[in-house]
Amino acid sequence: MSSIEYATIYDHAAAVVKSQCGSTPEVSQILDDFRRRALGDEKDPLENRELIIEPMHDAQILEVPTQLVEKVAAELHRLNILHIWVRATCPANNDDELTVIETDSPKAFREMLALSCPHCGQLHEDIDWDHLKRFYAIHFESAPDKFKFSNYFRKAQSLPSVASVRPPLLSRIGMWFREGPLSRFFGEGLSHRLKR
Amino acid sequence: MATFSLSDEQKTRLEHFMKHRRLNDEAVTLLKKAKDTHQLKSTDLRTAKNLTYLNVTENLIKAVNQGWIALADLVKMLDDSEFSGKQHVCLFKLPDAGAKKILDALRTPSGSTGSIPKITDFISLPTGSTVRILRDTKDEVAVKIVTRRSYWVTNLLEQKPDREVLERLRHEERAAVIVKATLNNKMLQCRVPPREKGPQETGKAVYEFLVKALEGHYPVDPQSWFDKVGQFPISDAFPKILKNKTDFELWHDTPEDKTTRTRMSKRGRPKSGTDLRNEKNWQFEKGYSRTNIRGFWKTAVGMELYVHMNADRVRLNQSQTRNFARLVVTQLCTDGDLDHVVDRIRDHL
Repeated sequence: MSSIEYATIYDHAAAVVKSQCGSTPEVSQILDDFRRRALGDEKDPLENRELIIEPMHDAQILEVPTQLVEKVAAELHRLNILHIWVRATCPANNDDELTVIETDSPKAFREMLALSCPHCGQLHEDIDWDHLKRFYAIHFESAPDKFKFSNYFRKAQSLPSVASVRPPLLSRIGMWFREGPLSRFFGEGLSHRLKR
Repeated sequence: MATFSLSDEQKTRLEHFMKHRRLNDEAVTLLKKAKDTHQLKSTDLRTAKNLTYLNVTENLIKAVNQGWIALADLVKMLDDSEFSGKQHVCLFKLPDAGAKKILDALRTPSGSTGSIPKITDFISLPTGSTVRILRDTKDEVAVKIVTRRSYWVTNLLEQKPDREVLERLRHEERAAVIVKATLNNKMLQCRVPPREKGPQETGKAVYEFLVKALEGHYPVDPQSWFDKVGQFPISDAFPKILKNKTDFELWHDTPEDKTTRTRMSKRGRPKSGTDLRNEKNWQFEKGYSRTNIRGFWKTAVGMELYVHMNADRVRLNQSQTRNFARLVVTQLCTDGDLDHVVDRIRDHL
């Protein structure tokens, strides 16, 4: 999708948000700021952190009420312009809030938590909700190809969570066979011998 | 005249209470007043400002036993000290419609009602939770919930290169929670004393203890008044407070933007007169946000109050979170001083 196409889609969505939240200077200020950030070249929120929207922080920078930014962001989320992301922070470092992963992908979330933490080296598979924070990101891959009012009434996005990311039993058995000791023994050993 | 005799354990508890509530100045003032009234010598009653808490406690007991200080005055000093200062102050906003109903709900607690405080209340652990209405006017209600708080404290007993011995002890203490609702500024203040032992509490620990103390006397379920009080958006006030150099001095800052997070603080024990914003390395006025700042508020009577201002978020369950503002006041102060600080923060919204 080109920037011009995306800008048109965003402007349509912004008009709907203004109709919902009021066409006040503060709402326009918030929407203009999000638009400027959305039209940057880098489209990955992990690379371009301007695409990350955290109402409490953005409200302070724009000097507008947090509740208004939350309302605007919620409307943009309903219109599929913003996506909900989750940030898991290392439970071993309560004070510093060191990030383990930021994602909106249940698969990436599951995979990262199965690895050792980059900060403390431990496994955080049993991470509790206190160490998960929600925020929004401007997410181009899931943005609508064209603006549709029907998007406004779509089903709300489900969140990546510890419960939702746990695959069913049969899939886990399949994964174990693919990734477990059997595949390591036969797969790698066999492939090495074949290469020789 | 009734003899005021305390066992060693009770004396230690009174000393701990005085120490925890930082009552040195108030106690010495009380002793000085008795000394002047009864024209006593320095050998009769010691009133030096540098007295240890043990000496202050012993002098107070002596003064009460000799009839120089009324026991009621001593109890009043202890009771008043729990009202404001050296507390976590959780701030909520009363709703525009229905604020009066919340005041009415506070006026009608359930459970055991506290009587006029006695000295034994402060030198022994409460057996249950009691509630007492301290103020009840048309525009303001303040209640005091006295309960027992219990938590684990870890001590390092022995440390060797290959061996550490730790012990965990269950610590129990008296905790007085003040809940004050005011119609004029539509604010609800929940003042929770800090733990006597162990590391500093997080916002979550403070909130959980507050809810536990409240639920002994008020409903706290999703249909209750406690769920109807709204968020006090303290983070919205931060940018304007940082521009205020008239009656606010910054000591500790936590600026962050989309890419970086930092902490910046003046070195040493907090003291007024040196503003972090005057440092050349502090360049965080625009384009940064924060979740907490600390600094001195100058009150109307020339007193300076060091306050931590936190925007806290507590996760109640998988789907619900609650945002609230939490001030941490590290010294004793008057109720008026605390209200002044809350009002000044409100002025910056």
